[in-house]
Amino acid sequence: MERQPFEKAWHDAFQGKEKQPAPQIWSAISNELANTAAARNRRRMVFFQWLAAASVVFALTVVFLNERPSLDQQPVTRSEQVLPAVPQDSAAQQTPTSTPSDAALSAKAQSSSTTNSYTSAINASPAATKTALKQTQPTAFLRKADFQQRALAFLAESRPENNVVLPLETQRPDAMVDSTKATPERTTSPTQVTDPTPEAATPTNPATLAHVANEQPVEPKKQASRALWTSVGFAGGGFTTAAAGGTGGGLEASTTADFAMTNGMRSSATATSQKAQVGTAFSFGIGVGKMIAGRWSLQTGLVYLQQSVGYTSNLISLGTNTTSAKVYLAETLSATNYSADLAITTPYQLQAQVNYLAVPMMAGYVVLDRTFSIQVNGGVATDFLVQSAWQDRSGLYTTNRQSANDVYRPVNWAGLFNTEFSYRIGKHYRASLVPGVRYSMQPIYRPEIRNDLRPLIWDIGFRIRYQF
Amino acid sequence: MRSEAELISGCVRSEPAAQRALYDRFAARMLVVCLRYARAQMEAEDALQEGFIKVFNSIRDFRGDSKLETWITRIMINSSLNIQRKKMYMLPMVDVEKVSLTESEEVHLAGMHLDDLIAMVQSLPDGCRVVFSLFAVEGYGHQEIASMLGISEGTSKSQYNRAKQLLRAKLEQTEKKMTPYGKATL
Repeated sequence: MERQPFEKAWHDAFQGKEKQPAPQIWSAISNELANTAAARNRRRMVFFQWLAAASVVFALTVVFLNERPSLDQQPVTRSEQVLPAVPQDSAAQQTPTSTPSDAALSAKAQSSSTTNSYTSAINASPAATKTALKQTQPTAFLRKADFQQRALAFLAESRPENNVVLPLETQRPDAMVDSTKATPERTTSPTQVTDPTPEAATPTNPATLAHVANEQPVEPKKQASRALWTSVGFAGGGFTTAAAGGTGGGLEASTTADFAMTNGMRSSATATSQKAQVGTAFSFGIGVGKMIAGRWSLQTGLVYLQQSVGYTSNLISLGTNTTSAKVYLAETLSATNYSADLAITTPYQLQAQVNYLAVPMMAGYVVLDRTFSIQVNGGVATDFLVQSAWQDRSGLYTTNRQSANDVYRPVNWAGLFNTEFSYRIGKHYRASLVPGVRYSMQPIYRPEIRNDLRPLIWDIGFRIRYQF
Repeated sequence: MRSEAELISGCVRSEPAAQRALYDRFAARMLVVCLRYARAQMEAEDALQEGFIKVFNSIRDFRGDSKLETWITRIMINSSLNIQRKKMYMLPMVDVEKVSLTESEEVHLAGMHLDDLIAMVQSLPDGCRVVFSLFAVEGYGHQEIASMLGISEGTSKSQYNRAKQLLRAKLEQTEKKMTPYGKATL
């Protein structure tokens, strides 16, 4: 259809025409946008929550698996307990080079029980030890390397000349034989060299055997390398903004009272603050740690922590001059701090930010200590309030900065738990990813505010550790 | 005053000040757009609100192929149609009797107040109102309108002719009332 003057007239009649919408429309739009942003943040934070949960599950799994071998080794313990019952002459008859007695021992080992095989093996020649080991392994649930290590450790102890130089992996039976041959005083009489005294050959003290066998020659070196360390790092994540016992994330707080209106009237009105379900948390700091016993460590440090969350509020503090109205939150109103300078206005968006200086004290357990290491830490932190600020995003109202004696507690306590996945990147350096959680053990507001808000922070951190 | 490009980049970064400035710049014009499709003011305000939320959430997708105002207008129309579409599904548009209008007829609306024009358009039945606004004011063709509304091209044409007939009747009534101040002729 052709364009006619009729259409043109209507088109021109509406061209560039304007009609002012009601002011509430923008309030509704800005509220909707804030909720959309909060939902987006929530989706983002869910990822970090799952990451933190997965890391905890992973760490617990590793701890469980790490404990399993000690359970599997219980048959060995039983074997050790029967060692004194073995005839001592079986060891005395053996020499490192006596092949016939190897055969005899093999025959004996085949006809013996698992326990006797093990006992014979550790008292027999190296070759016989190997044979006995092969026969013993399937029935005694022993890992070959484990069994070999224990047996050879015992041999090393029973032969003073073998105690000093050989690293564990070189203490092979044939290596010992070779070293015996190479040493003049040993070649004079192999029997003398290899023939242990009854006290030395007989494992009269099972604890000694277990102790020697369990010793890891490289362990003291490792302990020393990470005995003391310092670290620097940062972390980012989110935190819950719901008060304990709150419903649906405790999004809204409202109080009805006699407030001033921005049109100059006073009226009974409702002060409302609506906040995002999830806030953002960021921290950075330095730390120092020390291994205190075995796999246990203790660490402390100094951390600057910043928590921020978006609000929509309709409350302002006018102060003495209405041209410098400050932002205010209905959430922090108590029965005692209503004042004439508080007024209701159209809803506006603000950002509430709280800054702390925290001193954490954490105990740690090293689950896995390799190039890639895992350490689980738990402890408490003392949080000292540095400053809080409520800032209007639109810039209509002045930022409300508060000191330590305002609505927030000046000192707070928090429980900490994290898992540190670290990777050795140099002789002295480790880089770590540290997902963790942090829970305020007290409400962050002062008692008179009557708001039981205890944020649960989940974050993921990155640290560089220097090991002395 | 911030430039259009600055407003767009501010809105992409979700800056509240930029969002507010964009709203202030276009809201009044967009409300008129929404009013042409709505039966009442509140319905138009709902469409305006929904439309601006969509604008802010999808402004990253604005590539600058058209003017920003044109892009926002399209979103407002879609937003209005979303609200109207449900009603049109309930009351499906059907072909109306062909009305014969002389092609030479002219109409003078320049002297009329905006509220009167809007009231006149809003008094049209839902289907007629939407087709009339899309065809006469926005400049869409009947084929495009048929595609947008999921109706046949013939239905679009007949709805438009019906709207034209009704508006002519309204204008005649208005002409009688407005005689001392101005004249609207068909």
